[in-house]
Amino acid sequence: MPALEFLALCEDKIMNRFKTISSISIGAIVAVFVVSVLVIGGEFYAPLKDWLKATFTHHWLGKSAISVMSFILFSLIARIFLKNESEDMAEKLLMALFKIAILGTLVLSVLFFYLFSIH
Amino acid sequence: MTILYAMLILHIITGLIGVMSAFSMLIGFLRRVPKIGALKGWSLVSAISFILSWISGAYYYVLYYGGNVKPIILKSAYPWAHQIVMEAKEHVFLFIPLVSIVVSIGIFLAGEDILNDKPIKKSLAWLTAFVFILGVVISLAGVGISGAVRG
Repeated sequence: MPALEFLALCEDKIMNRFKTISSISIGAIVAVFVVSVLVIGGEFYAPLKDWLKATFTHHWLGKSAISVMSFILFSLIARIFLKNESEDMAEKLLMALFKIAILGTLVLSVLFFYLFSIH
Repeated sequence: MTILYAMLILHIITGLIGVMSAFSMLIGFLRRVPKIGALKGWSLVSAISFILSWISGAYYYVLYYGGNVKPIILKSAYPWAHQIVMEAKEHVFLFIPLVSIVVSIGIFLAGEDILNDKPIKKSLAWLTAFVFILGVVISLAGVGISGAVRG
């Protein structure tokens, strides 16, 4: 019946909105995590920082580039593999991003306090 | 005015525009009935401003700061201005443009849910608050670093 098809299409479009929001939230969460790992890793494992510098001409440019690539890549992967997601899932992932971004900020700030204190 | 100086000014101005836009978004979210058009506009301004601040800051940082500013700070009475403040600033800044983009897309896609006061509105508001507060802290850090150079 056309009415049911129309309703299904509406529902599909609504669910796709939340699927997109969920996907980019996942992409950003992964990017925050990857940046944090690169920063911490670079401070304790010199070859990592050297590799970033050699590959991207500057370690910070490397971290910038990898954060963008992680965001795009994992947003796309999540968008492809997530089943239709609910508003509830999108909301939870946005809050997860909020918490992880705060955690990443605190961890990196404490890291540089720590490194300064031991040198 | 050299390109370097222009990039530094652009970095500062676009960063401040991003922060002010985030503040406007935050106020928008707190309204009983948010103006979705304004939220969308401010979110776009915020995300684009932070991206421009990122690019212009990268230019200045990579081409000038490391070789010319950092040694001055390290030899000054405030070496922590680089070792703690700048190091933290340059890395946590990377979170801001990405979160801003997520918030902007979220507002564009979930406008009706924001109007209907659904839970997603609160999540987007919290993320906006994160962008705003971190943006303010990073801006103040930039002021501190400039002071360390002069000191």
